[in-house]
Amino acid sequence: MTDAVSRPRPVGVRWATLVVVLLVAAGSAAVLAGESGMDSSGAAAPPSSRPLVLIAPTVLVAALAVVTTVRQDRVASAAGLAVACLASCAPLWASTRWVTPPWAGWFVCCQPFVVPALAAVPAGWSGASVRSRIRGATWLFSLGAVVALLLAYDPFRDVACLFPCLSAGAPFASRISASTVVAVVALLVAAASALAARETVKARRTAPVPVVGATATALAIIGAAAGLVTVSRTDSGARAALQSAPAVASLLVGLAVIASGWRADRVRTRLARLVSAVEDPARPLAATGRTDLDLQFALPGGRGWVDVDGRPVPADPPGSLVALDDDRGPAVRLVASRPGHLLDAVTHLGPWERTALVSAREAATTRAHRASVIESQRRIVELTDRERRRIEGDLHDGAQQRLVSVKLHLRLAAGADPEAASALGRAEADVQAALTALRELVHGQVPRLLETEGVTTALRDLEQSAPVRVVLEGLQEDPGAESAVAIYALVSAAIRRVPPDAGDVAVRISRDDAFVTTVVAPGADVTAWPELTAVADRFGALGGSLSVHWDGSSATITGRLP
Amino acid sequence: MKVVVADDVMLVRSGLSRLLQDAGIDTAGEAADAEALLRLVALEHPDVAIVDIRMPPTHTDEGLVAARTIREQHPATAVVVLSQFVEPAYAQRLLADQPGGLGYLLKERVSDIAVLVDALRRVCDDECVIDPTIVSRLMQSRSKSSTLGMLTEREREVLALMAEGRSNAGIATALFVSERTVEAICAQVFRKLGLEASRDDNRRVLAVLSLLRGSQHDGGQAR
Repeated sequence: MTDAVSRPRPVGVRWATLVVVLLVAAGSAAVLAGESGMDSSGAAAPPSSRPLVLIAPTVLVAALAVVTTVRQDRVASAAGLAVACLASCAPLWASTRWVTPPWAGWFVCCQPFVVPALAAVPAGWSGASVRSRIRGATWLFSLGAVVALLLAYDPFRDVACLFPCLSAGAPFASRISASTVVAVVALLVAAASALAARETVKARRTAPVPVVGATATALAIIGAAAGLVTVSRTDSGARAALQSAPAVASLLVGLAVIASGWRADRVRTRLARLVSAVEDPARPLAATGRTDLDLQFALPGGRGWVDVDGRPVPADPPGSLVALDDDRGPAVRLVASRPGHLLDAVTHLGPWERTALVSAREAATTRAHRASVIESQRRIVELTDRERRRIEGDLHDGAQQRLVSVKLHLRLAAGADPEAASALGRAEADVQAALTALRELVHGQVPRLLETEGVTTALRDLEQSAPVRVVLEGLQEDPGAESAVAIYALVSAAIRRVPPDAGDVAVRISRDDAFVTTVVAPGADVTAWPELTAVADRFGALGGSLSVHWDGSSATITGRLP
Repeated sequence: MKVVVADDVMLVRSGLSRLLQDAGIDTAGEAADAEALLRLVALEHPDVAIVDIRMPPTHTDEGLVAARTIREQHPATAVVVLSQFVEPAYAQRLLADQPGGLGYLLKERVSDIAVLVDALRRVCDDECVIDPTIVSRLMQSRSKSSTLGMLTEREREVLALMAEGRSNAGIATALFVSERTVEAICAQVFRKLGLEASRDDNRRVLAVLSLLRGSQHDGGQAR
């Protein structure tokens, strides 16, 4: 279990691969050195040392490519690579002294199998379920070519053959001319290559682009070589070069498979890094260093998709691929600017990555939930402010005007009736008291000045009318209407809490990545302060925070707003 | 004295007119909004316009805008603005440039006919009147410039009463001192605020201006 969830180590695998490559390369170099030594002493020397120079890298690359595809569970591709390697190297191997007839003849004959074997490599990406008729036809043509070679081609009789030492003993070799056999085989191989190329191009939707491209190129090389063999039969130098074409083609495809496997590994490493950064909701996302690769999560209950920060994203973005499903459908998807290698990374997620993705989704859901709570808190504060302004306006336009009018008419009545003057005077004083109380009531947390003149003017007004000395610094930039209300509410709450003669209130507003308002309020009692709780709610509703520090003589209140 | 009244509430308008009539001041006309007020002023050329700060259509500061327009287009007409707001900033906005001939009173002051009539006379004399509530808020603040901070308690009291639009005699009555004492204190205030002796009429306005402008400027730079 611990093994299953432990983190994969792609870096270690890469180093091990490099060591293997170096060892094999050293080994083949030693074999080559021995071969060239034998060349000088042997009586019947092979035409050139080309066979081993090509065989060694082809086998090496094919082996690595097979390892890569097996690690990705692509058995069809692995088998294709192995067969292609054998079929392309065997004829070259046949020309060395270690292979004796009739094996050497049969080795020469198996070369046409390279075509369908290479075509199987990109097809491995589309899954085993795809069985096409064209692929069957490719195998059939290749088989036909192999049979034709086995039955009718005797390399010993072919003057242009590279392998004069061979005696294959083909039963029909005496009845059919070598050039006819070569032409028929070339035709079959070219036809098989064309069909295979068509099939390969079709696989471009699922297979990595380099693999598809390399396979198509390889098939083109083989097809062209088959055509050229018929034209240049008598030129042994050209024949030797053309004989090597399948090996070069296999080498090309093997390299492409290795390269794309390496890139898929890189995507997986980045994915693992991304997932481990995302799954912890407390971790700051700014530190993860975003790449072109991104994760998106489906909110439970079909409430849309969110990114790692919990922000809503479009339902169906281009270049995305579902990485994880739950019982209700897609749960996690990858989005990349270049989605070419996503499939490899996604189809082979280990248990560790699945677990990590599930917890990353939970973290993103939590973030989304938190964001929606903050949003609704913001709406509540906004609604409260709007309601308060409406009531304030109603009081100014309604009750206050009426009371002023009542006061006016009481005064008029008192002037007209001196006897009732003292009673009317008392009534007038009551009305005045009501007016004063009303003014105190409507002069709430959001003064009109803040709306009409902005936070700087409002704070200066607060500074001037405060019963204590206020030292105001900073604030060059407009923080926006809602933040302005929060900052004003904080400063005004602090000023009201400071007892007279406690000392200066220092207000400092600065801007780094957030608007930071620091208020040092001497002697302000921070216990049981409901007004500050309301201010903290305001800051919270805007996604900010408020902290209070009491050092024994003064309170330092710091409010941060994004 | 010829007065026009602008207020969107008819009861207030008519009550105010009657009250002024009782005090021997004729109301030359009434207006319900800023446009009607400007037409009325252009037609009647009154000595003073009493303007409510909140008028249609937005009920915010139409009165302030109208007051400025009147002072610019009809310098002979003084304006008393009636406000619901105690924030000194509104008074500052109206008065900070050229406070002569302008008054800023809280709305409920209108029934205090003595204060109102006194204020009307003062603004007609090109002086400046600020509501006592606002003046006391301005004086309350301790974060004033060093110039205002240099004033003694008594001098600050006199300056406050001056800002409310009271004459030397009025100040003397309020502080229970002789008028000569008030004159002496006034001279001290002017000297400390750096106001020259030659233009006595304007010095009261300039002193109030330095009170309004608070820490930003001092009286010597006014005008």
